[in-house]
Amino acid sequence: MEIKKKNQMFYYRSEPAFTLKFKYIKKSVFLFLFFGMFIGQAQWVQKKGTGYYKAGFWWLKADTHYTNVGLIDPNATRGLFISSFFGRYGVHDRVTLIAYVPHTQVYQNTQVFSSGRTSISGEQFSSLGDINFGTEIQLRKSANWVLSTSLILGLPTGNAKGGSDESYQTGDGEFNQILRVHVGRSYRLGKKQFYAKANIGVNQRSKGFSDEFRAGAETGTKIFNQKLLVLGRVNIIESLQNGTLDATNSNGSIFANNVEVINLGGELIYKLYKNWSISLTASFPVSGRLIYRAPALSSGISLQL
Amino acid sequence: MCRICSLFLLLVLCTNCIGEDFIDDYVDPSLRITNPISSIQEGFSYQFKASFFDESGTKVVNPTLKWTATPTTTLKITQEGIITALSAGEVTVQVSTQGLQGNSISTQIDFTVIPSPMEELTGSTTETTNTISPTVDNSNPTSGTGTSTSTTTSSTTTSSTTASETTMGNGVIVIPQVYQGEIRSTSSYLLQGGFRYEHNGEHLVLQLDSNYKADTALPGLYVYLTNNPNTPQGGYEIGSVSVFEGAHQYNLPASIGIMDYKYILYWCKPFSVKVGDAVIFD
Repeated sequence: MEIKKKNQMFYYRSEPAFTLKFKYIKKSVFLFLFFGMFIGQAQWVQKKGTGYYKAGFWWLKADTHYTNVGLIDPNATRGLFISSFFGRYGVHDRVTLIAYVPHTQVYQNTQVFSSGRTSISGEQFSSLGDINFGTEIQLRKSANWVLSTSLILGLPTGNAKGGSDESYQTGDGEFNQILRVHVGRSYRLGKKQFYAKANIGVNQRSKGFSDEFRAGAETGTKIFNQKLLVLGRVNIIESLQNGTLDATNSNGSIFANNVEVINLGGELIYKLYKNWSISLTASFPVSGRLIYRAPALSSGISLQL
Repeated sequence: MCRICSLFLLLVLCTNCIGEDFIDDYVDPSLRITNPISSIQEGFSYQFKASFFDESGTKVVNPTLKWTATPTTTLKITQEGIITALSAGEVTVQVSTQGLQGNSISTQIDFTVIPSPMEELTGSTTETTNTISPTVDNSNPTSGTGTSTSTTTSSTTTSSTTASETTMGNGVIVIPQVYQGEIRSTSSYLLQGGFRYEHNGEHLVLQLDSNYKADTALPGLYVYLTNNPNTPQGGYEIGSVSVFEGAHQYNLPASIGIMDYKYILYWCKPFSVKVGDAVIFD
């Protein structure tokens, strides 16, 4: 990610919402979706011929989850570790192509009993996750405002039945499309320059999953001689409750439906030198349904060309 | 720079290692007389059987059992649990063993020795009563004539038996065991309904009442019979739950005895989450 001052405003290039989205996880674990991290927004597109590339890790370990009524219940500790590549490339000054390729590992802790009975061994499963492709189009741009839209296609390239009990999914097995509208602007607080962005959108899902309303906002500023970007963000997923999939018709599949979450997080992005920067992200679901309740962390290194 | 990145990468990779969850699965040890009777005719013999389940709910193979009967003038018993009815009257048979922690665990059954038909013709009558009272978990004793009830003090679930007695050819009247109770949710997920657990002459049947409801948001919900409600391990997996509302039943294998398992357990298998349980008997 990078912020640079241009024409008296910040230009903030971040990963698109789907970037680290874990739709697969969402469903997949009824639980337990942990989502998170990557629901950034990108209303500033790449200039033609330029690109932004990032290699990153995202991980989470949860022993509680939000139930379908929003209460907190325990679960066997599960972990998710995703290593990913994300790229954006400007094919036109107003059109950017986006790709996200994850490799996902899901694991569960060994269950050890106080009585001394035989432990239940832990398990892990990993494979290619659900790949996302998309495009982002700048609609309008003024001195302080930018309006854009994006369409992200979620391909079911992950494994929807991983592990011994098929609950270690690395994908949700469905094709989905996320259509969003983004708006962003720069502003000042005293002498400090800030930026703010917001987006709303709909995730249209297939195979009986409910569609989702999505929204997000973030704001940030650069400190330490403009080398460190500090930002905070909130992301929301609300189920439209129009799916047909539940335990009665999924043959015991663990795919969950109607996942909801309000996620708060922050990110630090430090510019190392020239076009290289590193980032560290943390987020936590303050409320939700059918989603893991645990902090998610991520880190990455990015290159702007 | 490369060194810092390498260290950071190593740190990140170390976060995705499989760890351990510690589960407290203690349950009160349970000693059960698995073939209780309500009465036996004077002059006849009968062999009691008992099973012992330790603090993990695991059935102990060939436990050391100590059988006693009182009054000894009415009933004689061997250390194999074989009784011989000597004379008419109320009797108590107790069996005890030692738990893993060295504590004594016992249970007892009260029943009646009825006089032989010859004496009965002379006008001697005895009311048939039976009482089974486990002493380990301090539960209330069960009592009644052909009808016994028990209420656990450690759970909101109530179990009861209601059945008519069956006379066997060896002068023994056995108690057909029928257990009823309520399934309760132990999580935030919906799970409720009454159950009936009995032997239909061929095999055990677990019947769920029409007021049964289970949450459809749960993936991979399974139902088990177990002696430890904290884990399905060591229990019998009846199968995945496919009915989420209304009456239905599970037919169990003939190899399962009605007192082999103490609990019904609903478990989200993929994520090792306990959803609810029911106490079949105390």
